[in-house]
Amino acid sequence: MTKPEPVARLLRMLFGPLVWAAHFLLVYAAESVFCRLLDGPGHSIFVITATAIALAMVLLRSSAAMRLKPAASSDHEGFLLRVEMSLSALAGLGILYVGTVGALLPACR
Amino acid sequence: MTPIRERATLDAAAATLPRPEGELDKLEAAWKLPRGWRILSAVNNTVVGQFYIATAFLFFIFAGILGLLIRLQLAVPGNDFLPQETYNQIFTMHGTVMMFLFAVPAVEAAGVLLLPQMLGARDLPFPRLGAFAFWAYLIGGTVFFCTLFFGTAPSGGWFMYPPLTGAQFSPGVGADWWLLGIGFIEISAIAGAIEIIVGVLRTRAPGMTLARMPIFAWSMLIFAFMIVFAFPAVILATILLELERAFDWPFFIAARGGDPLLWQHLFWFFGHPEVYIIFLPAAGMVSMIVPAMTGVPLVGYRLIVVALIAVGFFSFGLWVHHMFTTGIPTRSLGFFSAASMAVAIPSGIQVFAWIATIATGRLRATVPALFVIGFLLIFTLGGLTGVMVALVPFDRQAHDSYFVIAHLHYVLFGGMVFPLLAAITYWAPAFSRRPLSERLGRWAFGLIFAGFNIAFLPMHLTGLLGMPRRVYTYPAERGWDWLNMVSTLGSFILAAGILVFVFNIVRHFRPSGSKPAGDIWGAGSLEWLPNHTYGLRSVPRIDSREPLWEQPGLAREVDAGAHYLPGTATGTRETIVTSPIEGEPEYVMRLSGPGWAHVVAAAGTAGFFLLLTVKLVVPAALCAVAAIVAMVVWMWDCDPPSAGEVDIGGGLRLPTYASGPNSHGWWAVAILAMVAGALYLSFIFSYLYLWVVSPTQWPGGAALPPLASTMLPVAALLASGAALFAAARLLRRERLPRIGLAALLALGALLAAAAVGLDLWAQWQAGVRPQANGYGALVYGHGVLQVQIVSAVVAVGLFAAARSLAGRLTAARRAVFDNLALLWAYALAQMLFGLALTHGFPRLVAEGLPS
Amino acid sequence: MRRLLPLLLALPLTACEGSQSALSPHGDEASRVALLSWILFAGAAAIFALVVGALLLAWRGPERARAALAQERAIRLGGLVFPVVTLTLLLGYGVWQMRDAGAGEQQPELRIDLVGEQWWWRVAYHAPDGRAVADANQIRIPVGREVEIRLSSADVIHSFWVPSLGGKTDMIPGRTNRQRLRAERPGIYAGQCAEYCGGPHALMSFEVVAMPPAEFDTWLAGRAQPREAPATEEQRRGQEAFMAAGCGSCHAIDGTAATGTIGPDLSRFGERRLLAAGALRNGPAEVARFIADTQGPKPGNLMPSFRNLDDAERAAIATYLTGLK
Repeated sequence: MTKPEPVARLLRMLFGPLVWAAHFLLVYAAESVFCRLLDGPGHSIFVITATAIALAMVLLRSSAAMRLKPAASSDHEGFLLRVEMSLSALAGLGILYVGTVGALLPACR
Repeated sequence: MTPIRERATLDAAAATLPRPEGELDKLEAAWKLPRGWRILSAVNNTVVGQFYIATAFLFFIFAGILGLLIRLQLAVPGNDFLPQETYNQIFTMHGTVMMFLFAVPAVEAAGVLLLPQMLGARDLPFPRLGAFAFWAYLIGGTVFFCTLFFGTAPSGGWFMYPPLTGAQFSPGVGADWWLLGIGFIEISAIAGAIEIIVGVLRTRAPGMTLARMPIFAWSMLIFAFMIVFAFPAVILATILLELERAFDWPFFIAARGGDPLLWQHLFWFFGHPEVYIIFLPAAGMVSMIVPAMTGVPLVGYRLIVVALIAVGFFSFGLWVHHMFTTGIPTRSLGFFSAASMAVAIPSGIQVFAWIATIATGRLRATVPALFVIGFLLIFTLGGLTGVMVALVPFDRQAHDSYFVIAHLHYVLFGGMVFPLLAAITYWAPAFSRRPLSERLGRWAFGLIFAGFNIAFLPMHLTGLLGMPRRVYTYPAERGWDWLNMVSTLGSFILAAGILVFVFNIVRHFRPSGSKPAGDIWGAGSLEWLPNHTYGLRSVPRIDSREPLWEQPGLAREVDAGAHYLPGTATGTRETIVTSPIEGEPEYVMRLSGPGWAHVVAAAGTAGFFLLLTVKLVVPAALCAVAAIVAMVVWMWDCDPPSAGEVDIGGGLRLPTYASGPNSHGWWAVAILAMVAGALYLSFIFSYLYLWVVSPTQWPGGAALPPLASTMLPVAALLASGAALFAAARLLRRERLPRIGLAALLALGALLAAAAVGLDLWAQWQAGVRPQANGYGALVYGHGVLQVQIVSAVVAVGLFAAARSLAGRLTAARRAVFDNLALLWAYALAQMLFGLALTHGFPRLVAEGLPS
Repeated sequence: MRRLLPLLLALPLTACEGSQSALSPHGDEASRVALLSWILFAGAAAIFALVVGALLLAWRGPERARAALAQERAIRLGGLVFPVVTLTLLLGYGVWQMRDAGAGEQQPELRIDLVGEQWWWRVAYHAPDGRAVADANQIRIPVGREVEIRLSSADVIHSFWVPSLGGKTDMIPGRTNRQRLRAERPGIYAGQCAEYCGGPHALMSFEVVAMPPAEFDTWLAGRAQPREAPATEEQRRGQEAFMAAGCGSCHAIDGTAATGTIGPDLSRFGERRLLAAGALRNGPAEVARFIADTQGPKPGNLMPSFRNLDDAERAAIATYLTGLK
């Protein structure tokens, strides 16, 4: 077996939480931009779009991981894949929470 | 304790038995501890770890006494036991010392003490750095604490909100003690974190894949990464506030284009993860103790790993939940409320995983198990009230009231102190000739558990009845008096329990490097193998999570030297470096031994910061010089030349030298670059934040330095990069022009420094002044960060140049250069980005967006 | 439950006058949060019982229960599915409450400006004729009307909190925050600074007096009228001493030469029940003592002690000030 680049492998395991973090930062920072600078109502649309994209990314990635799992070449590779999937699930939930709340609450007040 | 599954076959032992005569003597000689008072120069993780944890525990007791004084003052309404200013200093110090001098150092100390043993390493990868962190913390912490006796302690609360802590409202040195003292101790925490990350990822026993790593190591790994990303935010905040106090740069003064809320964002971006930084290692300890006390492997190991990682991430999305009452828009509050809910889920996973483990085996009601049960009950309650305060409407009542005091003590005392007391009792036999007394332990547990709940449970009610935090007195007619009296009584019962616990340690703990009581619990992890000053005699190949249960006879084999590296291969201290995921051996790393240079460096660094606080500039400068000289002395021998390939047994031959991306040193520098990056990102946040708050402060194009003024700095940076590139080419040559290489390195580093100077000069020429407004302060604050990173490049660059002249930097011995190159490249990137930010952004917003 | 539980628990604690408890709500927001609190407590108690039960079963329970708890499925159910369901419900409830609170689209019926100062409260009403009416450390509001308090700070961060009426809102230099209040019935509700603001932060209290709307209107209108000269000889001597001692450079009293704005406005000083932002009860004897020694009862406060005045002068000033109604 060829050794995968370890850092890249670990980052791949953290894909879900990383997307969660990016999504969180984006929707939070965007509120200032939309409300303070653009005076526009676009923030809700932005939040919904960003949430949908983030969720899609996490889903796609975990389905890829799920396909890989049976073929995992070793104990620890299987372990990392299962950790990755569970993390993606939790991250997806986190994204859903943040996105839904963002869409339901009034913006800019 | 019998292993649950007998394994039919054992791995063939790696090394042949019996071992040659004299091998053990040489190993012992290499790891010999200094004798008598010279023990202070020791760097062995077991010695430093025990000093470290003892110091942290001492601060716990001191801060606990402060807590008792608080409770005495509040026992009755209108009390005049403590004067107001003294009380304010005491509650500030109670929180600060508990958080910065006890909680974080204590878990870091536990990591230093336990990780190498648990991972099958002889020591942590940077023993002197670990010892340096400890000494800096001890000296800095002691001086900081002693300010209380001179009445000059900070009194602005452990959260130090400006403007109260600014120069106008806190003119004394108290706030400076906090900013410089704590800022400096945070740097020591980061040093420890770097060591822990590299230790966990690179110095595990062969075969210990990530899937077999003890949960405590997982929790310390995540803990350390959280420090790397969270602490820079508060370090930046302390730098900015100290600049404001010392030089009147108005970062936090609203009337001049700053904003007090910027502090709160930065502080809580650190402060909330901090809670989990403290909790995760404690949870990791519990995950080690529960299997040992039930005799079965942890159920849901993978789920717990998932939970720990998820908490590590989610905890960074909570910081505004300390700011629910600051008038932030509703939707923003919603984001943080949602993340606060999400973070509760992983904790639920862990609680039920421990319950499942208890259900699988038979929990023996030992003292560690009792403390774990106490932890489960108290922490669950704290978690539930945590969910309550995560709800914005409820928090608007509970915030800054005694309800929050109750909540945070349930989470921190329940979530961290109980596990720590369990851990001290549990691991004591690994380091002491005899275990702690069960009888005294039970008494201690009973008193602490009862006292804690009597003290803090009523506070939930006190808070909802309207008692705010941080009040030194309260009127009788509010109905808070009997609740406070009960809390005070409880706190003294709690204190009595701690006293019994300490007595137990004093009476029964007898440190022993070579003959500890050992595995009295029948546990399964490696730290229960026979341990000596050199760690394990030989390092076994691991193929399960509980090697001691799965491989009977392992202890005997390991101690007989039947496994890897049974002696010293190079005649010095060494440990095996393995790959981060699979734990496959890669090379043998040589470790530094005892010395005084790192102690002097720690004292010098501490002296520099502390003397600067009281404005003794000349002695401070002398301390800085002493520290730098000591560091050079310390680092000079840290990169020994290759000793060729060595045989570590089992047919494995490993190199003794590594440089570049695979080496432990490079990893440490890479993490250091992450710290610098996190610091810089916090600054970018501050920059954009102050712009959003008061965009009118930003100058139009005319008031900016002309774009042409960036030509010179950019040219200097490019030239610096070219010098680095040329040096790299030069280093590949067989016959190395030492002087030429040294000149290139020195020149290149100085060019980078010149770039920073040139840019600041251009800003000054354009009339930008740091005192003028928030914008000016940001421009020069940015300069301070650039000076900081470029100073590091210049220092290491000159160091590498000196090594080149001394013939210690060659094509084969190039780790110092590779590490420097990484730092250098990062610094150039940050500086180029900085030019784009400070010259581009104001132009962009002046022309692009209506503001 | 909504009415019974708080009563039971808070029986010895509720006082009609000067209540400062979130558990005896007399205002819109406080009532909503009190209900939420009881739901949360009940839910938390149930979950805590569940965890303790599971722990006991796992430790000492019958074999079947232990076997069930020992599986990874139990972790997924107890530690994942259950929290996700409850937290989602809770978050939904919280969001619904926040929408409610944020839905205050309608114009407030009254606006009051409140400035936090180290360590007292500067109050400004806006009379119907548009004139500002200054006061300190006491806020009068009409029962049943939606009041908006506009919160700002003159120095450091303070926080406005009247637990019986609603949650707290910070007062931050450079910002103006808004807090809506609606009192359900007349009474005096105690409030206190909830953000540590240095020195005598503990002694920075105030009272909200909720009055029937008609009474409030009369009071505010009367407050805008020019005041009469002192009625008694003692009060007249007090006024003279007050002016002679230079008190007017920091304090203001309507219709006199005292127009200072550094310290609290004293125009209706006699109406306040408390002195020095809650450090003392208000009364002639207390005022006389406080003037002589301001640092004893409230260390660190910014008013100097007037030891140069003799007892008679101080007594006269106290009589004068407490007579200002």
